[in-house]
Amino acid sequence: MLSKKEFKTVKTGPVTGDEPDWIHDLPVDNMVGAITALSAEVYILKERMRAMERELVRRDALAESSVEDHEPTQEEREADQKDLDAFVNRIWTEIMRDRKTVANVDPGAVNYFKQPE
Amino acid sequence: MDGPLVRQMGTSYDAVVADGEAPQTIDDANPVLDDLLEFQLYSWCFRHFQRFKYHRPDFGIFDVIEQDRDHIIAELDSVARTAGDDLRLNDTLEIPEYYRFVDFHQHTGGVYSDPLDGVAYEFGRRTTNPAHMDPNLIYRLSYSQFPDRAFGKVLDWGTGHGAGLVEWQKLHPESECYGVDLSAPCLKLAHKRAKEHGFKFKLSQQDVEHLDFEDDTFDCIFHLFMFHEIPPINLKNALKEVVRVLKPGGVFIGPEFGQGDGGPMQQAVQISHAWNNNETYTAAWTQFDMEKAARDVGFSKVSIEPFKPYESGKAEKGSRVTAWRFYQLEK
Repeated sequence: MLSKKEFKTVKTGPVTGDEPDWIHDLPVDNMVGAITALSAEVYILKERMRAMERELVRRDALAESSVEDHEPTQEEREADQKDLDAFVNRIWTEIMRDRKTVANVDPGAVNYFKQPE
Repeated sequence: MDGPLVRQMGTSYDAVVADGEAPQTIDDANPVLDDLLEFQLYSWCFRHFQRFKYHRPDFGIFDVIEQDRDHIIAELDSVARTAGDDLRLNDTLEIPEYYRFVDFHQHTGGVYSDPLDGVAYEFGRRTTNPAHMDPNLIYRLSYSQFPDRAFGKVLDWGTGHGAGLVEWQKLHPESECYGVDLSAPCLKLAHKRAKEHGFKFKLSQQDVEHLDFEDDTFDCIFHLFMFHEIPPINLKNALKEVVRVLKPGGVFIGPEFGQGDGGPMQQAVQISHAWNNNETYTAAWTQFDMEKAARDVGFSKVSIEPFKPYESGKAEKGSRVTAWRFYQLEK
């Protein structure tokens, strides 16, 4: 039986027609924050990767298939997991952040807006 | 204020206002800007890039330097202990209320309250521009506009982490360099940077409204974008002190934004930007009559000109880069 109650995300019937919106309660500012955080991460990686590739090519130290064939050790796998957790945390905290400002302006500052005689 | 987003913002603004009466004032420009997605993104970026810079987990400046807190403090203190008269700190200095009231540039707690604040501020200013750009270029551009002559005693007015004074001394080895600032953590770092370059600066923790130098001390006092951080009445008081400690014929020089004539959109964006970035006294600065104030306190010559290095070569469509001014006041 189909419910007549309208939900934002809960589905009580088949999805027909246009793709529905799924996310309704995520402030746009937070979403932009997450995208920007991700962009920063990607660009840092891009810069480092570019530098490494250049160095390796210059030194003739890397066969073309080395990256694709790479197998981490157990220790490396554990370190990779920690790194992944930290990475997810950095994105997630941006999505979930509260709206408290990180720096303050005392309301009394407005008393300093007067012009001299 | 330049880059693809700003240019697109300018282009979109121009397209909107082309259909009606051109905005004449900031109040006219604000509603146009408010509806532009480019402006919303620009504003978000200016607000939150600062937060990112200081506060991102793992990568943010505060997180990075916190991991090395004890070492950094020990190193700064070690250098400071042997500074003698080259570094005069004043534990009893009363930090002005206006300064305590604002965490400028969204630097949490201001740039004076934690021993690591100087280092955080220095990191912060280096990342104001993209990493591939020279963070000291702005100093050299500013100095390139100074009178072409030797300067004896110079004072960096709000020296902060000292990078401006270091660049000055490289260009002017003849100068005896002084620097004042309210922030002890910044001055400690400035002293360390001077030593690293083999320079000897006389740095002191002082309020620019109450300097302890004798009358007629300096040939030149310079600054970089200080005016918009000081409330108008305090700024005029500070100008009086500048006149007092300058030698006759000495000059007080530096660039500043906010009083240019780039039009209402330019002004509206800059003022909004300043609110976003806790540059709280900027709006009041834009109304400050520098010509009158400078003459009132005793400057004999007042020159306020466009900041030439940024006046040419960037006139792409939509660009709004012409609002900086260069202030040269002579005693």
